[in-house]
Amino acid sequence: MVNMKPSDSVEEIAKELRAQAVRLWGEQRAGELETSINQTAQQLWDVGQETPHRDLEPGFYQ
Amino acid sequence: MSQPYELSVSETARQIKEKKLSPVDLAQSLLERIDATDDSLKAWVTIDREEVLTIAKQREEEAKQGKTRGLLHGVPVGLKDIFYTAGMKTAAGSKVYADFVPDFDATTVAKIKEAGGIILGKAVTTEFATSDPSPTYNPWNLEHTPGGSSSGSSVAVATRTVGAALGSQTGGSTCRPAAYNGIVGLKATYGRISRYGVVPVSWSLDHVGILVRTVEDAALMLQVMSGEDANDPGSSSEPVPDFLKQMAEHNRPPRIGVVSEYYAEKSTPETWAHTQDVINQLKAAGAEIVELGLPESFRSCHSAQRIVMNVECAAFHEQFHATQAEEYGPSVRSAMEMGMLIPATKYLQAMRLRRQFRQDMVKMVEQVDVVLTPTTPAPAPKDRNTTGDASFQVPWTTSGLPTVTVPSGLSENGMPMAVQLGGLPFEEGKLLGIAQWCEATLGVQLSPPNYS
Repeated sequence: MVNMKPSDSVEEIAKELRAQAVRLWGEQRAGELETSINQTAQQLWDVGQETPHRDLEPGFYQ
Repeated sequence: MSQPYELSVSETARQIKEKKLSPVDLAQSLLERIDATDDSLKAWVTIDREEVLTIAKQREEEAKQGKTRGLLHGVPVGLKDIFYTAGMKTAAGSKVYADFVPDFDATTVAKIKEAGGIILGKAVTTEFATSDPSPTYNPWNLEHTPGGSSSGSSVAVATRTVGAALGSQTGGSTCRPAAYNGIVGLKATYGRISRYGVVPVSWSLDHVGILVRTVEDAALMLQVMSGEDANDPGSSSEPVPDFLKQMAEHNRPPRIGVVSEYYAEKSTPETWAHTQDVINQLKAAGAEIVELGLPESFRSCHSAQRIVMNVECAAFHEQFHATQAEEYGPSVRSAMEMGMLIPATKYLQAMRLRRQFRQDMVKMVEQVDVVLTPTTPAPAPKDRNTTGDASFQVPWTTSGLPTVTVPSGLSENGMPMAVQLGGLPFEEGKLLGIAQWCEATLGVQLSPPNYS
């Protein structure tokens, strides 16, 4: 389970993702995913910066 | 006199109906054209010549008797190799699906057949319609990417080996390769065209795409394929209008919204100058130009798209990944593995942001008739290890709003350039009418010189 707090920085999110990748697929594969992990951390941070209106539900099919 | 393979879909359908063109001659012309070009371009992956000619013969007999099945009677259509075709391999460019033979047709394929169309064959897709490089070559310059993921479909249409081909778009996979190869690409509103029987990347982002050489052909293909489908949970019950009629009604100078924010900064100087030149041409022909600002929610739309895509991709591939991870290409594999790492709360937050973004995009587009941007930040890169940059298509895909790309000229290095028009949900008729006006005003019809 990836443990992320809303206040986490991009680096902290990447650290969590990396740890989970190591647990699932091992050190070597996690190393191969380093670029993707950093990009995903940035994307998660970007989304975490937004505060959707409390009444806004997700729209699965637009 | 034009060779049959050079005709647009609309012209082909007209000539067949008027008994001026034989469906068999047309099919043979296209098959010979494929033989002449595909060794060097690798746009096609599966073609059943015998079946194509058999069906063409049937359509010819029917046409001789004055019986036409529909708008595409006798017209060959290509399919990206992610569309299910009963009895014909649908490999999705993948080792994992290498031997997959569906036992039913995708709804879109069934509709094309019902309209009298002939499935010419399956066109190359990047692996599972994601961003690993394509084996297909760009006919404008073999050293440049053809784009992706609908690379084979785009190149096939650009080089006149078929008049229309289906693609798909989860980020920018229809409009980007259309722009890179100098053709017209249409991504209709999410829900307008059924996704049933299309190998998914991401259920909530995937759109069926249309690749053709004229805006009229885009409307014709849209007419054939639109409509509610109980097999697709994302399918819309919105009524299907007469797109060709609506297109004719809106073929006039429009009120065009242009967006400099983000697009000017991200485009190359050449692309942005070219786009300004296009805008000036349209203004001189009577269009009203209005500068628009982007909504605040734009800033996270690319990240939200990527999170949603990766998680849904991971969910679809989870079982295959468990036993066949090594058989995936590096890009699609890392995308699904990232999806496996993303917490459910973040996926749902991304989905909420998408909904907000769609609402905001509608408000932005409501101020004008269409919004115009460059289709891509630059022409097709000289790099076959990439499929290019989807960032200008992603907002339209993420929001589900319809968008069409129209060729607009050539770059200094001879590569196609294009502009992208976006409209309101389920107003494709209006969008296509304006696109047709832009197409006529710009007067740009492109054909790769080495394959003309």
